[in-house]
Amino acid sequence: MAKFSSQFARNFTDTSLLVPHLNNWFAVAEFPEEIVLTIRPNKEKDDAFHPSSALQCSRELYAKLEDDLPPERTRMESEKTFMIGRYYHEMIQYIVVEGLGLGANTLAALITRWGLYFGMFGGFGGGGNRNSNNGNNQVPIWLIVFVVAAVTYAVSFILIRTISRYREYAADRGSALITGAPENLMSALQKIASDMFRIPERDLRQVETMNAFFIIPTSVKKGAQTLFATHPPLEKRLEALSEIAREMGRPVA
Amino acid sequence: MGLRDVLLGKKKLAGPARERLFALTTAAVTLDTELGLRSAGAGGIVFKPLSAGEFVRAENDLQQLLDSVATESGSKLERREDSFGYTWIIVRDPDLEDQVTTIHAVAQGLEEQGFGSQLLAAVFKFDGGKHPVYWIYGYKRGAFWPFVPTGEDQKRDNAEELELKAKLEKELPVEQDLARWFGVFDAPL
Repeated sequence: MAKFSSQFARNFTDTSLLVPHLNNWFAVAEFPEEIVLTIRPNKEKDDAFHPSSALQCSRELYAKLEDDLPPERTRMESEKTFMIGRYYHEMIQYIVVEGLGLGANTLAALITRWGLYFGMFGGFGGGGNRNSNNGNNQVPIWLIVFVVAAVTYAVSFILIRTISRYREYAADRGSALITGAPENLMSALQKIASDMFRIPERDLRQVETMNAFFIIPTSVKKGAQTLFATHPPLEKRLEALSEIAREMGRPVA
Repeated sequence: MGLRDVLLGKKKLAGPARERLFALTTAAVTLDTELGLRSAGAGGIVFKPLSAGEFVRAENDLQQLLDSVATESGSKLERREDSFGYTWIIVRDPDLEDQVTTIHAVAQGLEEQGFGSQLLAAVFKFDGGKHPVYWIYGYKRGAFWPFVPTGEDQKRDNAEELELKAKLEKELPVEQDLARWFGVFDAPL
């Protein structure tokens, strides 16, 4: 257990480790690449979880948004609150889920390693001639351990992604409640997820070459995408927000 | 389309390519009058690399095809290989309509030789804007989409691209699924 918590502490204080996470939050379709690259934690404070880091992130983000989008104050305000709301939710998520996932993953890795040792050396006295003498007995154990570890890894991976999607709803909700105007966030979301950000950055030839290896039908791919996505689909988020808007008696944008 | 085609990654080519491709010549008027964009005097057709066996046969046929198209159209034809291993036939001609005609002739020739499924895209370059504008015609989708690289890395001017779409949608079969607007970076045009 001590090993896990020391790992947390490291993740927690080293801001450079946070950057990929920040990138991850923004990389999923809703934000263009330029924004992803401008986001960095506050270096002066050297503490990614200091509130000023969150503010800096959102300030940079919405300076960028102001360039691209018509400067409607309400939209920006909403986006700002959303960012901060999301930031703190993500922070909690980082502690809880990352811990859970990391714990499970590390455990799985450890088990696999020990499984390997057992498999290779056949307990304590296996000695040199491991293949002919002990191979038959040890392989099933090694296999079982390996399968268990793999399953643990897969489950923890899906769990992280699932909770991430629920966090996103929670952040939407927080933002809607703080501003008291969910319709603003809805319009901001629509704007951000609009056409511009659906245009790919990849090259046609590159994609075409890859396509030759795609034997999984696209419908299955979509199913897997929803399972592994870190963000819920836009329609669902808008649906959830319009639900809140109705509860608050606000217009549904 | 049968299961076998799906498994082998084969896709049907979309409808009569001729009319779709030639829509660009009509759209060129709008490009010029509304956006100040004119053909940069070059268009190209890009197709997938051939397998070794096909290559030997295709090599002769292709050269014959290019020679006959060149004498017929009077356009200048160039052949290039790009870094992806794709082959380009570049047509240099100041007149867009001639470019389109020549490219269509090359595409047709390739199709007749059985390389229709190798056809990837026809690309036309336009100048006059902040960045060069490319109209890409995807043979599999049977539609055009705009491509405006800004010149730095793999960046593209999405705002400009969307404006082009909005302005030309009525005259040109524009690809509606924006997620398929793949670029052709460093096109040798």
